[in-house]
Amino acid sequence: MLFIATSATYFPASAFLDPRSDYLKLRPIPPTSSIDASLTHAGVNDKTSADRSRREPACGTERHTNSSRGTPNMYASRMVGMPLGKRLNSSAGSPSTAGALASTPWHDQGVALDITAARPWPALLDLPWRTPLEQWPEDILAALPRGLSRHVVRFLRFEGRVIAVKEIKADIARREYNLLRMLRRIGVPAVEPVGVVAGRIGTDGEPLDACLLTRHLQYSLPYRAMLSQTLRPDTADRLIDALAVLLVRLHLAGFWWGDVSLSNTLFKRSAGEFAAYLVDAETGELHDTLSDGQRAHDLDIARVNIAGELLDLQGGGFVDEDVDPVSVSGQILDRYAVLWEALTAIERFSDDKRWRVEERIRGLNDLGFDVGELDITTDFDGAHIQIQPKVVDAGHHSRRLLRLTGVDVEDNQARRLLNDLDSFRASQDRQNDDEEQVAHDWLTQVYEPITRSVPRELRGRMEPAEIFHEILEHRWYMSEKAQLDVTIESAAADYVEHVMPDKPDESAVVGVDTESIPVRAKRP
Amino acid sequence: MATVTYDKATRVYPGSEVASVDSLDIAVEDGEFLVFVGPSGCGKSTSLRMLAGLEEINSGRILIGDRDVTNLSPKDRDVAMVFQNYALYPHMSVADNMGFALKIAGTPKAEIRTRVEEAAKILDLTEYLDRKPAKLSGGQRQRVAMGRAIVRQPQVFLMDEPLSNLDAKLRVQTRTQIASLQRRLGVTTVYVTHDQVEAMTMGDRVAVLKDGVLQQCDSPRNMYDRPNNVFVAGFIGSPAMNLLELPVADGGVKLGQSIYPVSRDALSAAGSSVTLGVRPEDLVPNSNGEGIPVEVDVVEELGADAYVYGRTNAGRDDDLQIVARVDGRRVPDKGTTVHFTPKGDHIHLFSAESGERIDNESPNTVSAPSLQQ
Ligand SMILES: Nc1ncnc2c1ncn2[C@@H]1O[C@H](COP(=O)(O)OP(=O)(O)OP(=O)(O)O)[C@@H](O)[C@H]1O
Ligand SMILES: Nc1ncnc2c1ncn2[C@@H]1O[C@H](COP(=O)(O)OP(=O)(O)OP(=O)(O)O)[C@@H](O)[C@H]1O
Ligand SMILES: [Mg+2]
Ligand SMILES: [Mg+2]
Repeated sequence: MLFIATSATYFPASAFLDPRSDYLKLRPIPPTSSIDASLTHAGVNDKTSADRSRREPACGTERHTNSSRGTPNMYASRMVGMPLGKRLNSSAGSPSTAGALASTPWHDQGVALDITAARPWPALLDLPWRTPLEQWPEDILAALPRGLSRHVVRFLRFEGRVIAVKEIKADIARREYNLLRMLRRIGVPAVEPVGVVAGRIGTDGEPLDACLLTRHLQYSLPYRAMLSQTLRPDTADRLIDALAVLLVRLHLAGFWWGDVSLSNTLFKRSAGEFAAYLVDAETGELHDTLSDGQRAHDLDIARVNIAGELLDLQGGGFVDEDVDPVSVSGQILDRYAVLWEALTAIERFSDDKRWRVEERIRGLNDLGFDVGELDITTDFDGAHIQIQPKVVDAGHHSRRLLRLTGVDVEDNQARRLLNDLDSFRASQDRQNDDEEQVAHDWLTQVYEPITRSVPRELRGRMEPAEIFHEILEHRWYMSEKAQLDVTIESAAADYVEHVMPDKPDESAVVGVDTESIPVRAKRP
Repeated sequence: MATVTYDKATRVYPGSEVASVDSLDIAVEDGEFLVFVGPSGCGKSTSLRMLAGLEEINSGRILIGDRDVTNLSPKDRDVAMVFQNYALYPHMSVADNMGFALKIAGTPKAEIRTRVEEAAKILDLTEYLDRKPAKLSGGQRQRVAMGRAIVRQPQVFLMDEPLSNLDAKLRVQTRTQIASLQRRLGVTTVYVTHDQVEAMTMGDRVAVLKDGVLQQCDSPRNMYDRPNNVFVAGFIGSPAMNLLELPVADGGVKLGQSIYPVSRDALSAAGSSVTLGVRPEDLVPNSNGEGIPVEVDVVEELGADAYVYGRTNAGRDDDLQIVARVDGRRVPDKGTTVHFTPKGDHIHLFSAESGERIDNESPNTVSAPSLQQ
């Protein structure tokens, strides 16, 4: 597919606002013939060959491109109104993509696309936006597992990356895009928004829903793949644990989710645990702080959704009959409550027990949180102290590992690596050496050689830190079996030879494409 | 079934200076469909959560029936919050999709089955109960989602923008379905939307909120015909009511070169100027050059009718936007000037200062006013 460069000028937004859309917003929607008449009358009909160079909105209304609640869209660049009509099919293009457009005479494509993207990405224009997402050619898509969804969501292979494309109403898409940006800015784990493509018109002239683009989260798995892959009976519990941590973090940041579910979460392996990422922010709201009622509401939603999702997997025979979905889903309430209490509770003790301040901080560190700000107040008589964490940041271990070694991994992986670093230090009897020097030696003598000992073709299957964790586990099993200490080098060799080849490729697991069953009806 | 009473119910979020819901007073009747509507942030969801027991009430009370539920937990209130985003589960039967939430609540199996069957009958889903949802049509799936709420058999349904992510067509279909279903079930329902068309078509009564304050709670008809203030006047109706701040003259309001007669009582309530409101469909072209001169910018043709968008400087220094609905067969040309006069007594007067409605029904007015040149 060729994109003729001459049209790649950035037109001013107003020049290509789509007047037709103003009519389509009217209720009841006027018949196409009458819209056409009005547009022709106003000299802005996009369906005739008439004046196509400059358009004005039909009635002076500006199209709002940022419908979210005042969230600034400061860094977004907008590519507005790149006319699709200036595209040509080339015989060298991929046959099926070309086919999708070939059925349309290109002179009829004077449609203004409205692309909001985090950075200009002109190649986005080459995608078959005039075709409903469901009919996109398979050869540009990746069959990756997905969670349940009501919208059509597909994964696109695009310039060496995988992008998730969700077909959704334009105002909701923009709102979700902005919310995801905010979430990432405040440091909550969420998928990375790439852009919104609106103003799509199908080859039949009917408007199509907008598309929200997010980057596929590497090495992540939806819970369905996680549960049907791993046979460990406690997998469901650990997924709930990870979701509870995510929910607490979101709530601390003032984010009300409104649609908490396993489907709306992505999971990454993290040294025997899972790390959870938010994937669907459609219903979310961001406030300074949340009320107890808002948090309770999210938990209620979480509980019902999780129970439904587990019952569904059980119905499909993917989860053991021993698992009780109702009680597992109830765990979200307990896990959440414990963590919330640990992170936010006020503690009061007498002045002679000052060590409890230190203890509280250490407890939070163990949970993976740093205390950014601690409120300490004393009574008038000075006999009692009261403390309450005010600012806590997740990622205690990953920050420490990053500082020491430059290795950036999930928190629990970091905890695991830091433990190994400690053993390294003890085994070399270097307790009194500079911590950073020891860390550097561990990195160059242990971590890097071990992770590099994995043949290149197998490396993509897991993140390096996860491979390292697996090798440590493997060494433990080998040592126990042999009743002697196995070196990490031989554990690694054994692991690569016997275990690794059977591991699925998780950089982008190719599995059964989960069927989506939208509640909404399909277009006839 | 039950009534719902908000009695000066107020919610101030911690850390917030102003009340997000301020002394809300509404009495919802048994079996009534009440819709909260208003712009984003006006307090709709908060009002609903207060009723659900999910938001603390800082002052005032909430009653369900005769019961003061102000301090009751959500599960003791017998209300069901109908969730915006109902997922359908592919491996579960339609019956399980409808009934599983009752399992969580600990409802016995046999009772779940009974309730599901009852709901299925109402929703016309009986023959599909043992099928998987993937085999259903879009409309049937939507009904299964509704079934999830119905099986809970609460005293009150609470719905927060349940249609927000549907496309326009399905949205219209579903809102009719919900409204007719509610009428059949007769369960008191409180519904939230930001879409005034949705509010007007679904509600027995509509409550318009702005900045946490109730502006008007009325039937859709009254809301349209007798808005309490400028805000409601501008919010309800699409295209919006024309609102013109005009000088008051002797015996009426100055409309271009003419005077629109207004009763003495009404005039005395206004100051030197008044806000005159007139809906697009209540403006009639006047071939004698009387009334408001409008320079036509754009005409939108809708078939039988057309909307004329234009500007006027009726009695003022600056231009005002005007929208008028005209006969689709007699459409003015862009750039021309057309005069419009309000149809009969279909005008609304509001105080230019407070924005409150001024009544223009004086006992002395016998016939519909005609314009004085
Ligand atoms: N960036 C991404 N990386 C990996 N997977 C993704 C990504 N975006 C979406 N998915 C997958 O697609 C599924 C559906 O996406 P999403 O939840 O946004 O759709 P939805 O239709 O809004 O869902 P819902 O029905 O909950 O509203 C997710 O469960 C997830 O598995
Ligand atoms: N946790 C909170 N802390 C402080 N203010 C809040 C909180 N939650 C909501 N608010 C504020 O209360 C007001 C009412 O919010 P609410 O969510 O009820 O509005 P809404 O009418 O439902 O809006 P929308 O249509 O956007 O959903 C808003 O100004 C909102 O910012
Ligand atoms: Mg989702
Ligand atoms: Mg969603």
